[in-house]
Amino acid sequence: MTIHQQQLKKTVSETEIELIKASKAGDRQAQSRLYHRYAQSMLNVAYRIVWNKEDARDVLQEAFIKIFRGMETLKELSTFPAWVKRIVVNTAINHHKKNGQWSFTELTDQDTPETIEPIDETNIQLSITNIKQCLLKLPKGYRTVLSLYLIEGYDHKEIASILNITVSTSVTQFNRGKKRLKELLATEKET
Amino acid sequence: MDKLEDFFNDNKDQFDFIDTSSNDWESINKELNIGRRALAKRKSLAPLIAIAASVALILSFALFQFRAQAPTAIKSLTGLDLGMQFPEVALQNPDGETVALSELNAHLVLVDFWASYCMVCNEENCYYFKPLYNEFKDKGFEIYAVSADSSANSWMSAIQRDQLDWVQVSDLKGLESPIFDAFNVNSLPTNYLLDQEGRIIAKNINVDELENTLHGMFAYK
Repeated sequence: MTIHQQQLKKTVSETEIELIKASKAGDRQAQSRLYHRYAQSMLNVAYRIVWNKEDARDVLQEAFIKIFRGMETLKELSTFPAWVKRIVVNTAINHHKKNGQWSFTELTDQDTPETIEPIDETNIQLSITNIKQCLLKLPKGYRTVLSLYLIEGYDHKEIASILNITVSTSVTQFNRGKKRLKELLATEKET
Repeated sequence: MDKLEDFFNDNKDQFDFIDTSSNDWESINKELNIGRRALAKRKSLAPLIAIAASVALILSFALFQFRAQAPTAIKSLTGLDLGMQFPEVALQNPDGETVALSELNAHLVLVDFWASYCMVCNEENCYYFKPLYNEFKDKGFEIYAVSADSSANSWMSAIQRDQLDWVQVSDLKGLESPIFDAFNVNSLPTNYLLDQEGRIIAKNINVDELENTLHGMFAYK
């Protein structure tokens, strides 16, 4: 079991288990309540992969139909949050690939030579708004790897299997993306 | 871990880009109801299907008597309980070669019934089975995946798309194939875990249990 699954496992309360059980049995009201509990956070999970509001909404809808139709196969109820997230992430990736909006060719890039001077981190002011703005300036491939790792809590092995890239690609992309992000954060400070 | 990573770690929940929760429940609800109606329709046909199936079974049994060897050999049709011997099955792989379950030289075999259109199966393949397969295939773990596809095209493209490197077989007769009845497969995915002698040690094992079993079994290899 991975770290993010463990984190998620802890958050399943008794009430939620009851809701999950009822939803599994087909109780539409329970499903509605469960959906509303997850909609906001899962919409953002989807957004951080497709980077577009409308697409994120489509993904969420598609994912929750799959979730409620596929609940019979969920055996361990406490794994529901991790399961939901995996389906949302996977649906988002597929959606994105289908729409051909990004390909991972941009992940096998030639730019950013490895010899770039290390950035002086002491001057970087970290704030949520600032980071969000800078994230949006990065190429989508970097953005996605960074958010899967830093926000979603997946490790490189998992990212590799999600994005169908190698573990080392995930690691390099992550490091380069992080470097770029820091550069952006540093220049943002100066202006 | 550097400053930036620490910052993310402490503020994970605050990186929301969309504030207003879009309420699309109604459309989801509608979609789910369509599914339910289709299911109800299928249920009302159930007695008819049952009759048709028994007629087909009798017919196929009669046919079986006259044929020296059926293309798909399914010996015992009952006794799919834990500890029982799993019946022999031999089906064709995408290259058209017949692969028999008994031919596999493995210490632990997962017989997995799936289909390319089954979303949960695809998830399971990519995120659960693939990493475990890669880790344990050289130590004696094998997966014998029987597909319920009826189109060779969608079957093979799913295998290729998700790079499913284990044994893939199908008779391409879809869910109507006698195989699925024979192995008590009522829904997809269904799996059986078999030991070296082909005895059933688990049915519908979940991934945590499978992972534990594999780690336990191959710890010293």
